[in-house]
Amino acid sequence: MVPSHQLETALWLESDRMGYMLDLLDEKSLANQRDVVRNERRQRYDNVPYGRERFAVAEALYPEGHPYRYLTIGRHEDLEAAGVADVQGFFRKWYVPSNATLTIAGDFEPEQAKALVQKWFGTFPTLPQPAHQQIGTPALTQTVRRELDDPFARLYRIHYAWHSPPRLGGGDIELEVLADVLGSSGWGRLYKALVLEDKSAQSVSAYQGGAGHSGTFHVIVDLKPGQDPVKAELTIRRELEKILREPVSDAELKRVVVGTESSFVWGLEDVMGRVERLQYFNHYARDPGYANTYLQRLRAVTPQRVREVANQWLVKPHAEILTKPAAPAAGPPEGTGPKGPGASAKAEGTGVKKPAEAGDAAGKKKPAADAAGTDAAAKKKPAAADKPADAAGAEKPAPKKPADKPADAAAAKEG
Amino acid sequence: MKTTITLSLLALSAAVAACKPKTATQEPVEQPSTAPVATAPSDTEAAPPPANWPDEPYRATRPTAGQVAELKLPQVETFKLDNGLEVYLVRNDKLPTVYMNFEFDFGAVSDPKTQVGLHSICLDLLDEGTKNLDKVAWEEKQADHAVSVSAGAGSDTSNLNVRSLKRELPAALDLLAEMLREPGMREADFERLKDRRKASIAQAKGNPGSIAGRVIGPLLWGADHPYGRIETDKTIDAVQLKDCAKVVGKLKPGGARLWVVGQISQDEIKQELASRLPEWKGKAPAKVNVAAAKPRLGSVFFVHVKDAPQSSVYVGHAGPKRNATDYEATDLMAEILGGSFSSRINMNLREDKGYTYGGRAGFGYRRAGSTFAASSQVRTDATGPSLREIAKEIATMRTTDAKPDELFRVQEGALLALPAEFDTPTSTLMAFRQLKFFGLPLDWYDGYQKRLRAVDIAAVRKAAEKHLRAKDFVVLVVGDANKVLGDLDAIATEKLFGAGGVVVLDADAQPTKRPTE
Repeated sequence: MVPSHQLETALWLESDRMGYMLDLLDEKSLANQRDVVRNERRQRYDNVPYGRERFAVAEALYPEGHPYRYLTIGRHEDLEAAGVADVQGFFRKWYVPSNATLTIAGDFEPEQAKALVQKWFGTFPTLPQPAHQQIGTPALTQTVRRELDDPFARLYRIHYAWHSPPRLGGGDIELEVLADVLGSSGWGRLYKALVLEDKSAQSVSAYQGGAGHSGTFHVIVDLKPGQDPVKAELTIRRELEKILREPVSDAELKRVVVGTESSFVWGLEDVMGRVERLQYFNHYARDPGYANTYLQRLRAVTPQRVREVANQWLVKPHAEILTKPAAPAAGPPEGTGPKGPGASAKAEGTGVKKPAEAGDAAGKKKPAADAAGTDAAAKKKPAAADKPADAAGAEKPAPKKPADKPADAAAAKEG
Repeated sequence: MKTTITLSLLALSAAVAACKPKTATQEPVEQPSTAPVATAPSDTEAAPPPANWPDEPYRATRPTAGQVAELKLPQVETFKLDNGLEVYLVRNDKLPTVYMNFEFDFGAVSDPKTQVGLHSICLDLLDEGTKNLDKVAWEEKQADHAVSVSAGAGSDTSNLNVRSLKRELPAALDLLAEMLREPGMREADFERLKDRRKASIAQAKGNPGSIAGRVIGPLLWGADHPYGRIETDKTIDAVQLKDCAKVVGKLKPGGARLWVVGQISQDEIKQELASRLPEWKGKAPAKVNVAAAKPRLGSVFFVHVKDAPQSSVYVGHAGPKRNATDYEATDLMAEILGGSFSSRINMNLREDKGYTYGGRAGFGYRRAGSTFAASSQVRTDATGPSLREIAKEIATMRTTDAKPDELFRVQEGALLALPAEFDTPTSTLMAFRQLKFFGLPLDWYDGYQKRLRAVDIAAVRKAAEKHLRAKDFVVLVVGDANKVLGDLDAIATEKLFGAGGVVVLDADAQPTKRPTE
């Protein structure tokens, strides 16, 4: 985002990056950024609850060689191994005008903006468009079930994930409807069953996470301390079976449609929301004006059709990743118990690293696979509008949150 | 040619790694068995040769930007309702939406010491339903109209929020009125909300980042300070349903503020509210005076998290109030030190040393005052060195002048950020709301550009000398005792941050035994 009088500055910078960035790439600058990305990985995956789980889900869903098997953040050992030549090769292949789309929104005269784009990008060479391989939706031959120990988790997490259609591919909207019917806070079926009736769940979410090649449908439930995961899984299965058996109600469907329409409207307020919407539809549907088609498709969904799509995708083998929490640190560490820091009381099974444990920085056993940016992008509906800040808004450290800036700079790659 | 390079590299190196085929050992049991799919590009695929990018000399020079327009803020309309509610309206006729935020001057600062969480729990309970609509019916009704009616308490204020498309506003306000007139306040919802908070606290004690966020408050503000108290199972258990009736009873219009943005006029607001809430009268509580921060200076506080690959580190102390006359100079000084990407702390810890993904410093303004903190999540083995670098940067900021290019950058940055801060009617409304929250006049932004431009190097230095401490800081480190305590002992012995030594705490900020070797 730049003030409107600085539009040309932004085009100058971006064109400079596209054409001339490699001139300044060397071992030293790469080495520093390698550290930075590894620190990012530590901060966002290795040092937080449920970070391991993200790798495990992707690893369960995608086979070796599939690009979605590896989260965009990368594995420590691969980051270490990436050399200047790798970066150059990647950059030269992908970061070319024929593979890029520029979307501009804001306060300017279109003709003037076009002339500026021509000035800064128009003389760039026409390079071959890199081949985008077509990868169909993978199919699991059997359900993959895995339990993980997570030293930072304190709540048991049940995460089911199915392969599903790609973004804006056929069936995706029906699965979005289904996700809302299952997971909406307050009225969603799983929310009602697990949070309100059983009172066993801390949170429930369900979403259709589309990506370019194929998508994933997720159901995630965090349990309150001391709750029985077996019982919760039975409830989840009961609700899923019902979804497969009976159409959703007209009222449920209508709620999702009106909610999505409303979020489209809210999403129009800020410039970033508009530019992202155009880019999103252009990228996934090859049509920046796809919003109207999208809404038409949404309004045409029927309860029967939702059931059919559910029976097409959610009956297939899938991934079931269970995160077992570690026990809270017991009082003053050590003293009476076994010697050595961290030998304090912990839940059975935690601490001892099994060979299959994912996400271990040093581990060279199992590839700590990663779910290809799909998860970060996943929850983002095309029209998601941010709620205006409320209560705490005025009380947060006043105007700026500088720490966000480094993170934001890098966030682009996560989706 | 320039400095944007490193940012994009960051994205690239990760992407490169993600594209490489993996050769690690297979774990047959837990490998997904799948039908064959296309594989990723192989290592041997030749990278394209360097392309012929044009050598155009004009690219070496930054284009000359047009003139920055003087800031002209959208108007805020202010008026008062008969029941004493002050209304602030920013109209937006471009979109058929309405957002309303009722703001009351009470919140967690009014929680009794033994019932930390009281106001927040009770306001959360308020939007769980009404007498006639249980939780599910209440949520369904909102979803049927795609509206949101909610309540919540912050530390100094409590809020009611209504968010709706214009055409659904009557339905939304019906729900608001029903919620205020006949709130549900059910025991079952109350117990569920309390359990939920306890579970959140349990999870918050699980990793360094969230533990640090929990513990830093009592250290910087003081454990008994209204901003420094922390919620525990015990304080939650002490809250009773009957207490909530009293809290909710404080939501009166007299002296409270209503912030509105959207496709709506003064008259419509008056009519829509008066027709639904004719009996809503009475005075809201006056704002509570909160004392200055009483930070626990001079010690290195430490919380142990086994096997943490990074430590969360904070170095801080108390700061000035938001309405201090040198606010702009203080702000620009903090921006140079740790506010922006190109700040000294970030450039040092991240770009030069590679200790972290990001480091920052700044003043966190609350209604009653501020605290200063430099913070980062740093690689475990870089914990001690990071603290030393932070100490150095703070001292340098105090004892030497900022460079002209540093000042220029943050000054221009603040000026050029203004259009984005007022990008939408909603952000405009929020900016005004914040002024009012801090007791600043609504015309505070008049002359703000001039005040920013007037800050010179001497003013930055003066602000640093006045608002950054020369000695005795609050230091908090959350990380793996095995790997960082040695460094912390050395730092404490040197009295780098004061003479208080290393103090080991638990995740509730209570003193605990030192983890043994």
